[in-house]
Amino acid sequence: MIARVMAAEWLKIRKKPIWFLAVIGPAGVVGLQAANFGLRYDYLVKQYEDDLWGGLIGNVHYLAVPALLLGLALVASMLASLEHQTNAWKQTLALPVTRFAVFTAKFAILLVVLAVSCTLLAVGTAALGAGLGFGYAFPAGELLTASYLPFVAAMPFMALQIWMSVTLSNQAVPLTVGIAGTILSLYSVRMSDWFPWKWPYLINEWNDPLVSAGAGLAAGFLLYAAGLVHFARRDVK
Amino acid sequence: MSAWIIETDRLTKTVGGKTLVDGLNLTIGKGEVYGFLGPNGAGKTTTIRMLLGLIRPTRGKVRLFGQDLQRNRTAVLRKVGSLVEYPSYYGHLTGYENLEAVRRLLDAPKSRIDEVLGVVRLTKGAGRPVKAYSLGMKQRLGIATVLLGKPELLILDEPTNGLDPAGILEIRELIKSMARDHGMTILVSSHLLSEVDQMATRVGIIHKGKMIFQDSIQALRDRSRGRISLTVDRTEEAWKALLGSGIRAEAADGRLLVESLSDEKVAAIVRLLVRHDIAVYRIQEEKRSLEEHFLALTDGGDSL
Repeated sequence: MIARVMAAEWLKIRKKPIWFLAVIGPAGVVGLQAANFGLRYDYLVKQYEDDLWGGLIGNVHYLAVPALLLGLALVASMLASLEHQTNAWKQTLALPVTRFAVFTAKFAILLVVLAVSCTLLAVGTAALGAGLGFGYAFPAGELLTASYLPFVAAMPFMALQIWMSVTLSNQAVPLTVGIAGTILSLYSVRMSDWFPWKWPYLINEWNDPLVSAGAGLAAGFLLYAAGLVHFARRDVK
Repeated sequence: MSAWIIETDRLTKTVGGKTLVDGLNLTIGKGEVYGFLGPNGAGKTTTIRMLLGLIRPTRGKVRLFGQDLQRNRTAVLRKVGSLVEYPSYYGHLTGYENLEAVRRLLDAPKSRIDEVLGVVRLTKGAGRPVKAYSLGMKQRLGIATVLLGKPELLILDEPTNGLDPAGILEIRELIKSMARDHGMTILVSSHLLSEVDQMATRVGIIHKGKMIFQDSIQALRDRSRGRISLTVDRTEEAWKALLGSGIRAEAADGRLLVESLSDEKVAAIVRLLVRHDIAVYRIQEEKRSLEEHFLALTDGGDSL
């Protein structure tokens, strides 16, 4: 049933700038790093002498986290607005589909769109490195870690934004929360490890990115489940 | 096992201490066109939302096709087409794409889209974005969406609200043909009796959350039959004279009112009065329209 709901969702997001956002996000991050490395090439190459690729991937990663947090809030809001705009929830939810399927499909679409963005980010980073003359032997493991694990660590924010966007008809609230979180994340590296906004940076005292990603996955699932229960029980206006 | 298509058992919805729907027992049989009437704010939409599982009843139960709605929601809703208040649509998509989005959810055959577009005569406008549609076209698209899944039961909440007279007529004819040609059971709500009068076989009147009348439209018409008004010179005596021969009349400002009677009975009354030497000035039939009767039932429709 989720497949049927998702098929309908793909149709509905046509002509909406969701895919545009999915491309512009990673393109913007890679573009800014291209400018960064282009303008300060000699300085940065000297600084990252020992590990040119590592330096580039690290820089892209730091810029990608706020872009990811902001982007997921925007996409979540757009997905929910499809129904809010003409109050189509009453139509969708009076059809023979479960609320579980409707909520899960929205969440799944958000995951797919962001996964595409992360893939574009990985490809873009590799292309940028090659273009800067760092060679073609890029560290695949490091690149994939920096591209996809922040996405996994950001799961709680995806679940939270979908939950808020779907249940609140006024999108100013979820968008404000999303933007505030994005700004907060810029200062979160100094916070302690339990702080969720720090997780997408994959920094923790164990020096293991999987710890941050695992925490994100667990918290994301809990928030998704809580949102689902609330959505399934609530009255539809 | 009941034969009702819709059956509610003491359906109640309380929101913030306010009872919107109060112990409603609504029953609709197969093939009926049920007019669900009530002034604005009487609880019609709240009831309909409960029938569709959009909101949870505070108390009471909804059974559709003899099955408990809460337990068999998706199976039951497969046989229901619904249109609640204003039409829902995706404005950036064309009419065709709107239908396709719902078709994917229902898993109906693709050919069904052209069929329903034909039924509501929207084939020509199907390629345009819905945000450019007139309200009448949007409403027709809404009805096309309702019909996509070949429902056996239609639940239409104020389907003619905001339409111009031509649009109202069109939707009304569409509803009638659905019942006549496809044997669908239809619940249609309205705050205007005149609208339901022309298509319903049975009516339910809700007022302040309570069902105050539920019977065939004929029964409602019978209840609103006219009265005979007699203007005479000595009201008191005339009243006594009539009572003396077993006719109950109501005396009011120089007139006597009796329930509508056969021609012979009216003639007998006149003869009686003349025999008592009472001058009869006027005999009038006072027709109370269905509308007036409806207004009387709902306290003059204070919120109309």
